Formats: sequence, C-alpha cells, structure tokens
Amino acid sequence: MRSVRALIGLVSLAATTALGCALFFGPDNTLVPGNEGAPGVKRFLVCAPNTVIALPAELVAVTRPLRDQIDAYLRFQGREAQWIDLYESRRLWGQAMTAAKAQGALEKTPAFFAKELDELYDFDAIVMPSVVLHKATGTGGTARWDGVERHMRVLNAPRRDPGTMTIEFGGLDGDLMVTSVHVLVFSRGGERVFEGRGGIELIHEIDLAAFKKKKNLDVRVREDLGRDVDALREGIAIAFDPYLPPPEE
Amino acid sequence: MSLRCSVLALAVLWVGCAGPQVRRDSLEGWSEAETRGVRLIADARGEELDAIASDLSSLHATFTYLLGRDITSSVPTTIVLIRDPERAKRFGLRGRLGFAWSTLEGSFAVVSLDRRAVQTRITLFHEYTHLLLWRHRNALIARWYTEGLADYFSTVAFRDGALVVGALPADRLAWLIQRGHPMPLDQLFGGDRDATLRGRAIYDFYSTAWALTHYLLATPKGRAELSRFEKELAKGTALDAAREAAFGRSFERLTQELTTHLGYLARGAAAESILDPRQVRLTQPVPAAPMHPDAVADALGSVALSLASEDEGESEYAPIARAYLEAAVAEGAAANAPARAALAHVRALEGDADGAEATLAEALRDAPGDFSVQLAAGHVALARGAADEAEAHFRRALALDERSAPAWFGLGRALARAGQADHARNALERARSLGWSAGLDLELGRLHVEAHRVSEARALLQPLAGDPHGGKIAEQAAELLKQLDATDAADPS
Repeated sequence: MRSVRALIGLVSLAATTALGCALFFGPDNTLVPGNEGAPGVKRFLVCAPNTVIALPAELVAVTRPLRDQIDAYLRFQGREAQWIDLYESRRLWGQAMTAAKAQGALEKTPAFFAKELDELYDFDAIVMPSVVLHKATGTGGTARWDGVERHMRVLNAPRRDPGTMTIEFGGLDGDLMVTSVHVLVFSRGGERVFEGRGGIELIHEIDLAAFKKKKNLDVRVREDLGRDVDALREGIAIAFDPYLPPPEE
Repeated sequence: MSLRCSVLALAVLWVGCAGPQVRRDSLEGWSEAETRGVRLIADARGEELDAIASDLSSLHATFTYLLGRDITSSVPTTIVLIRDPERAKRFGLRGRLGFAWSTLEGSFAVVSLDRRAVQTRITLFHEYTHLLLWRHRNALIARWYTEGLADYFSTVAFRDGALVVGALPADRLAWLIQRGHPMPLDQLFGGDRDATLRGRAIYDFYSTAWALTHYLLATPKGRAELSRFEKELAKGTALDAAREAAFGRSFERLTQELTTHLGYLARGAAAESILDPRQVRLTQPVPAAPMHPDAVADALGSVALSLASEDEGESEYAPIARAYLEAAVAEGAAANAPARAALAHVRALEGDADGAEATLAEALRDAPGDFSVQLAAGHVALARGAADEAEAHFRRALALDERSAPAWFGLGRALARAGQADHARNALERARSLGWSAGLDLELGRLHVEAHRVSEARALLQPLAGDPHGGKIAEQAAELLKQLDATDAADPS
C-alpha cells in the first residue's frame, strides 16, 4: 500500500519545504576572477546531470531536456560540448574520491577527477550540471528565486460574472517548492572556477475545480514538469552568468 | 431495430439489478499487454501501455540482474491500471495509489493511472516489488520489510546512460525531515495497528521503513544485517534477540545512524547506486493490444472476485465482481464457461444460492472437464455448506491438475467442514507445499487450535495476528490465539 504518496499534492507543499530549507539556499553565482566569458575554453566536457547531487525520483524526466538545452546553450555560445554518461561520470568521481581520501584530502576530489578525465578525453573545462529541488517564498502565488520570477498556475478558476462583486483567488503565500539549475565548472586541472544557479519552475499547480462545492484547494504536482523549454533556457542562461554571459536579448 | 432498441444498443448497457452498474462505454478503450509473465490491463491506449510495460520489464530485468537469477511465478500475475477516479475507488484505491495482494490462484495489483507517467511508474514498481517478494515465500513477510524494499525499488530508473537504484522518493524524505526524527525502531518492528497505522503514524511507518532500508542497503554490512534481522524475526526470534543477533547494537544507536544518514540525504548527497546498464538484459514486451469489452469486464470481475474471496464472508468487492462478471456474460462471454463459473462463485459469496446454482449448472453442463469450473463449483458448494459435494468437485479439479494449491486448499476446507480433521490437515499441508497464502495459514492454524497442538498453532497464527495490515485474517488469527490462551489458562497441563 502506498498511502503516503496519495498526499503528495497537499502535504508535500508543507512537508518538503523542510527539505528545501536544509538544501540549497546557496550563494549568488561565484566566479574566480579572470574567468568572465570563459576565456580560452573551447571544449567543454559535461558530466551527466546530477552526478554528485541527488535527484529526487519524481524529477527523473527533467534530466533529458536539461541535457538537451545545456548542450544547445553551450553551442550557442560557440563552444563544443562532449557529454559523459552517468555511469561513467559517477564511477570516475567515486575513484577520485577514493584517491583523495587515501591522501586525507577529500577537497582534492575534483583535482583527481579532472586528472582521470584528462587521460580519457580532450577538453578545456569540466561542467557538472544538476537539477535541484528547494523552496522559495511565495506571495500571492508568485515566487522569486535564483534570478527568475514565476507565478503558480491556477486551473479551473471560478468564472467571475460581469457586474458582480466577487473575491478573486490571489494565489498561495508561503514556502513553495521550486527547481533550479545548478552548475559547477572546473578547470582542466580541477580548480573550481565557477558555481552558479538559475531558477526553472514551480513544482505545483492549483486546481480549483472542487473549490466552489467543497472549498477545497487541490495543490498538486504539475504534469508538465521539465517541459517548459523557455523556463529551462532562462534558468540555464542565468546559471552560467557571468561565466558565459547570456545573450543581449 | 426499434428506436428503443437502438438507444439501448448505442448508449449504455446497465447490468445488474442492485449494486454498482457497469456502463458499456466504460469497458471501451482498454488495452492489455504481457511482459515477463505479467498481464497488464489498463484503461489506456496501446502506446501508453507499451511504455508502462517496457518500464515494468526493465524493473524485472533489474531484479534479475541484482539477484543473479530470474524470479519466476508459479501463478499468473495480473496488474490493473485504472484512470477513472470513481472506478479506482471501487477497486480499493481510496487514499492510496496502489495495492497488491497474492492468493494461491494468482498475484494481483491495482494501480492508479496518474496524470504523471513518473508517478504511475513509481506506484507500479512499488506494487510489483511486493509481488516479486511474495513469490516463493512460505510465510508472512514482515510488513516494514516488504514496504521498505518496495519503496526502495519503486524509484529504479534508467537515465543518462545508467541504471539508478535507490533514488530518493522526495515525499518520504520530506516527511521525515519535517517530523524531525524517524519512528522509534522498536515501534516500527513490533508496533500494533494503532501504533503504526493511525493518523500520522502511518506516514512515520512508511517513511521510516524506506529510510532504514535505504540506509542498510547502502553497504554490504548493512545488507547482511538487514537480511539476518528479517530471517531471525521470520523464524520467531524475539525482537530484542533478533536485534542483537543481526545488528549487535541498540535500537538507539541504530536510530542515531539512521538520523545521520537522513541528514546527508537532506543536504542533497547522491546516495543512490549507479549501475552499468549494459549488465542488464532488457527484453521488449509484447506490444499492447486493444481489448474487447467482454474481456475487460471478465478481467475486472475476476480481479474483484479475488478481492472478495480474500475477505471471506461479506465483502464490498462482491457486488463489484458480480456486476462486472454479469456484464462479461451479457457482453459475449456467455460461451465462456469459466466466466459463468466465476459469476456463480461470486453469487454464492453474496448468499444468492439459487442464482449461483443456476449459473453453475450451465457452466458445468458446457465444460465439466474445465479445471476452473470444477474449482468454482467446489467454492459454491462450500458457500452453501455442502461439504461432501464440495469435496467431490475439488477432487475432480485435482484430477485435472494434481499440483493445484487452491484445489488442495479447497479440499482441505471441505474436509474440515465435514469433520475429517486429519485428512483436512493433510490436504492443507499439501497446499502449503505448493503455495502460500495468509488464508491457508489461518485455516491450518484453526485446525491446530481445535486439536490443541499449541506450538504448531502459534507458529502459524502469531505472524498473521501481528501483521498490522492483516485485516480480517489478522483479527481472526488474534481471536484464535485468544482461545488458545484461554484454554492454556484453564488447563495449564
């Protein structure tokens, strides 16, 4: 029996906020000076999404469009992108961690990772992208986070008859679950040169179909998660800024 | 054709004079597919079901890879995926997205066809894991263990060139983080229905079962401990002794470790297992095919009948089974004797002895040599208390299939009703050597209680009574244990 899952719509809004609280309330994008515009970097080696950051099972379908759009964005920036699949990137990352641990210096893991990759691939920099799930504060159903602003979709809103006084549903206030793109960029030698984030989308939508009869708000997980290509593109461009400055418009 | 007839033919077919009605249009647009011996029936078009069947096939292949062998089933497995919310409720999906059960005659699951394909897959994988775990068992599997494993494998996915096992179900993790602590482990392992299935406790129970399984399966040491612990409990070792034998440390210590693990997960640590997908041999399922309305009605009726039979006595599923089986017969399965025999069985369960006999007579006339007809005839006879007649039908069924666990079970029940306790026990033991069901252990346990074979009775009944999800069977087992205790108190010798 899977009773708990039945609550995902309403409960997760309140419950998973704790997850976000503990997770990524990260800093603004950070860039090692001198790397604006990724000078001298022509060939990116890109790891499979969420190689080192957990991906909740409910978001598994998001990685394919993320991969496609990052690939397109890097090419748009005039760079080459070569991808490593998840099995290989995790295997090599695991080996790098083991080697770093053996030296008592876990922080050297990226350096070992880069060294291993260097023996197998030709590249100028390594990108590790992820989709992360966290919370953002919403007011009237609108949330702003990681450089974007999104409004929660409302389905089956009651129709307002002309000439009548009604109160319009303004949207939810409080913590809302959202996704962001997170990118880490390492130099060929494994030095972290950039870390950035860009917001993608809200996880939930509201269905008011039952509101009139039962005063019931159905807050449910969106059916089309990961399919809003415009939102994904915007998030990717923000996440890479200023390492790869976004286009003028 | 008169106007009235046309309207009847074109609009809807209402079947049954009481209980739920089956609209003909509700039987259209269904598909079925087969993969790895599992029959999938869905309120969906072929393309959608093909994707679901392919997912299920990949999960089965993953299990085969992880275990190093295939888990075959000796009984047919049927999984029904339902989109319509009202129908889903009728089939038990109230406040839950899926559930599974296993009988001597077959394994079944009902799964909600969600708007989001990923949610359907997670539910389907959860329920299918239950069915796989229940294959080849010879005793009840502890509920925390089977739920923990079912959640763990519910998130299996092939993505980005890897096989990912043990990915996080966000809602489980979020629940535990919000609560601030897992359920106390002694309560998880030994809590009664009130302690594990009321209010918030149910979410604590499921989330903690997942978290503990996730934590222990992450390392070879943890896997060995989990396996040992489950085996100790299954053979009746007391909780504290089983803990000491398996973990060698206190529940408090284990809880601390679990809390630390949850802290890592909450911070986004990628704790899932990433495996080489080339090691997994995937097979393509048979493409989905559209179903004729009578086949849909027959399949849904049979699934509801299985639920009704599990309940024993009055069941909310019996009217549903009857409505669908009547629709099946009306829709064209009239020539199908097993469908009519199944309808007779459900009518007998509902107490409609005359209706059952009439329907059964037709089935027996057309197909006296059909195994399922003889089996149903035995059930019908049992329902009206004709033990000798039931025995004869079950023996005829056994003459057609000597290795049928349900036929041996039926024979055992018939003999028990006829007062032939020793023969009944032999038949039930034979059934138990061929399959397992909670109902079978209950029946056998009852015979042991009547013969005052205390240790044999307790060994069978205690796991049943201790299952917080055991429903009526758990209640009956607890009642029998009380009788045993009362007898012991009255006569300690």
